[in-house]
Amino acid sequence: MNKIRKYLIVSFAIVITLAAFFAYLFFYNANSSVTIKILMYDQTSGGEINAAYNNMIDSMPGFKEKMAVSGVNVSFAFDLIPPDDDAARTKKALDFSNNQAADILIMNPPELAEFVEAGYVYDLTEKLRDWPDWANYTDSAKATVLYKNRYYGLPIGMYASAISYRKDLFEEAGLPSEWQPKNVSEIISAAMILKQRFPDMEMPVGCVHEIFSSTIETVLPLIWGYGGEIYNQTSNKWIAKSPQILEAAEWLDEVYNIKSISLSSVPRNPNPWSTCVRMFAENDCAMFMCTTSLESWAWGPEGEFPLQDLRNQLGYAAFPGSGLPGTPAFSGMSDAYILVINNHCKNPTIAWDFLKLLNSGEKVAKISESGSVLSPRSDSIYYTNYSSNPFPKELRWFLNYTRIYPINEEYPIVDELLQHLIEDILDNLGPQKALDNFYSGMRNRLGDSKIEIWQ
Amino acid sequence: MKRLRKKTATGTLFQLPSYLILSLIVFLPSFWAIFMSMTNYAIAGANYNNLQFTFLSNYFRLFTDPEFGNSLLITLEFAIITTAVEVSLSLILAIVIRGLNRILQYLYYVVILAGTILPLSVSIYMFINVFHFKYGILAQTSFIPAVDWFSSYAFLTVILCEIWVNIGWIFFLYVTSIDGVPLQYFELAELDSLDLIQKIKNVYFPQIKGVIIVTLLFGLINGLQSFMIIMSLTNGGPRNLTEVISLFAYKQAFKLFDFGYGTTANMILFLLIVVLLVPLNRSINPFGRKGGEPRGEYQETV
Repeated sequence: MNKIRKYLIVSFAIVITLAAFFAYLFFYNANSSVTIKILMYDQTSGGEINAAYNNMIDSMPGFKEKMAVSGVNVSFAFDLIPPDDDAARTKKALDFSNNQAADILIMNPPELAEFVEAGYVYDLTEKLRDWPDWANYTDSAKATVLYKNRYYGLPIGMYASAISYRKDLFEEAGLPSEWQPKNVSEIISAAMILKQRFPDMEMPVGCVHEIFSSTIETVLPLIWGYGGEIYNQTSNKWIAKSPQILEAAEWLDEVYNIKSISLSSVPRNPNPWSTCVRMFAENDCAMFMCTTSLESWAWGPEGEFPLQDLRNQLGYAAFPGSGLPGTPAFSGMSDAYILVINNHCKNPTIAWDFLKLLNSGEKVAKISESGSVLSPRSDSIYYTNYSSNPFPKELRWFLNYTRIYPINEEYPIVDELLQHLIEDILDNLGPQKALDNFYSGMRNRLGDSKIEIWQ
Repeated sequence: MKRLRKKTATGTLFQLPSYLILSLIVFLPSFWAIFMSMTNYAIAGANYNNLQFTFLSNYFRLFTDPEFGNSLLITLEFAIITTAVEVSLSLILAIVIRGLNRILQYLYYVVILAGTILPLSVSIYMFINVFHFKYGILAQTSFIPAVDWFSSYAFLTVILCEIWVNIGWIFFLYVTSIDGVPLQYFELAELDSLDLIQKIKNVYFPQIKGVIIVTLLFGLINGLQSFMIIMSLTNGGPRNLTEVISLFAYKQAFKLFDFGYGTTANMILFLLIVVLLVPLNRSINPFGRKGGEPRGEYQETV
């Protein structure tokens, strides 16, 4: 009996000691040690992503010191993933749904809707209202993190749809080296002149395989340029058929089939982006539709296919409107990488403090300069380092004429159908057939209640 | 009787952990997948917070979805063509290469096995570098006209890549099984002055019938489940012309986050494999012979 009592006492003592030990660990961690996990694209990303990553690394020691003064030990952990937008989006969804997501995450604006709807993303509206710096963010930057009148993140760099062109090849073909088309027809006429001078060159417009990119580059700017819309903000319905969508399809048809200024193989090969930037650097292409974000990672000194004389070879033109009366002079789309906070983050206040530090005026200007990306803040021009890279400064005006695509849960479906529209054109089915297919796709996928027709 | 019962109980106890593990890793996920296919489960979007049991509605939706119908046809075409080519071509190669000298044999082994032994991602990358419309090896050679492989011939291109990746292991199975055929059968064939077709019919086929059936089964399973190659080369395009069921399911589940619907497509793929393979397996019965029996008799042609 005594033996049993002894065992019981010893067991009880062990249980109490272990409980006290774990309780100490729990409260110690809860009170004074915080780990902030950040999901970021890895070093293969280049451009503004690398600049933003370096900014994080640089900001961490100061932030740790600052937090240590208030008795909180902050440590950071990175979850680095390749910069594949499609795969990254899937990873984020899986991480979120399994409650394994990082505290701070990099995102693309179109992802915002589906993640906010699921309750994954922290609402920063109140915090942004109390942050004086928020007033320095441009409207186009604010639009990238806006969903249903609430703000959910901070943009780390902006870019706009643009036409990249080779200044030296333009001069050789007798075109001005400082080129800016006044309407979309002028893009085709310039491409025809280039084709005459360089018959083996391609002038690709619109990539197909990559989600979001094909619509960013061409289709939506074209529809807007003709005075149309893809989403009716008043009725909250998608526009599945309109004369403007038909006109956009006709323009693409002219490029690929009637004037044949680009092979359909360019947008259809397994890696259209890399192919386009390589062709551009290797004199196989004199102009193509892209965004202003390419310069640094593609053709800069450390780029994938560097240009020998970047400043004299690379030119950007803003995407023009249709030139029709009553339509906008320029019609570009702007986009950004944004940083958001996980709604289930244990320490959202600390994560927010870190975000604020990362996005101070000076640091944003530095990202813009080193990543060759347009700054989301209007006060960047006051920082000296911003002026050292002429690209972001010269191209900043593009943002005055850009719009953000509809941040909506159904956007990935519409995007896919717009890609099919391009593919129909590439297959030479004709603009009307491409539009009919787009319309029936919208009906099948979204239902009649979510679409409308514009006459 | 009592002793026997005790023995059985002890045996069952020993087997219990394996049953438990099997249940955890096989049965539980399978039942979970069946359950998910009957829900509107989504990993993002508004449906994430609105889980509903929808019973068979995903299945009805699937059978009225023209995109799925297209995927089903493409999957069957892809699996049948790749399996037929892989099995017949590797058999012919194994027979032909067997007649060559050692050095040439090893040379061919390396060429044929390259696609199989390399990591899949490397094989795909190599394939892109060969078939790229502008910078590919084929495009650079002047004697082959530039062909738009990934758009105009997308289906053919993914089939070629699948065959290149899979032909190695099928080929090696044939080489080793032909090596196991008794030599006197070949000598008899020589005495009978059989030509190659007759040799295949009367010597090779009866002797390696079992291996052919196994490669047919695995080839079909492989073809029906093919995903990585198609995703990397064409991503299902152009215009869904190479979108097999696994890619359709992936798109629904991981791109559009409609997990319930994506799982339903995968359930259909699973049923398709069962429906196609079980009767094939049973009708041919490759392992039907009892141990010790010869694998077949040399058949006189005359």
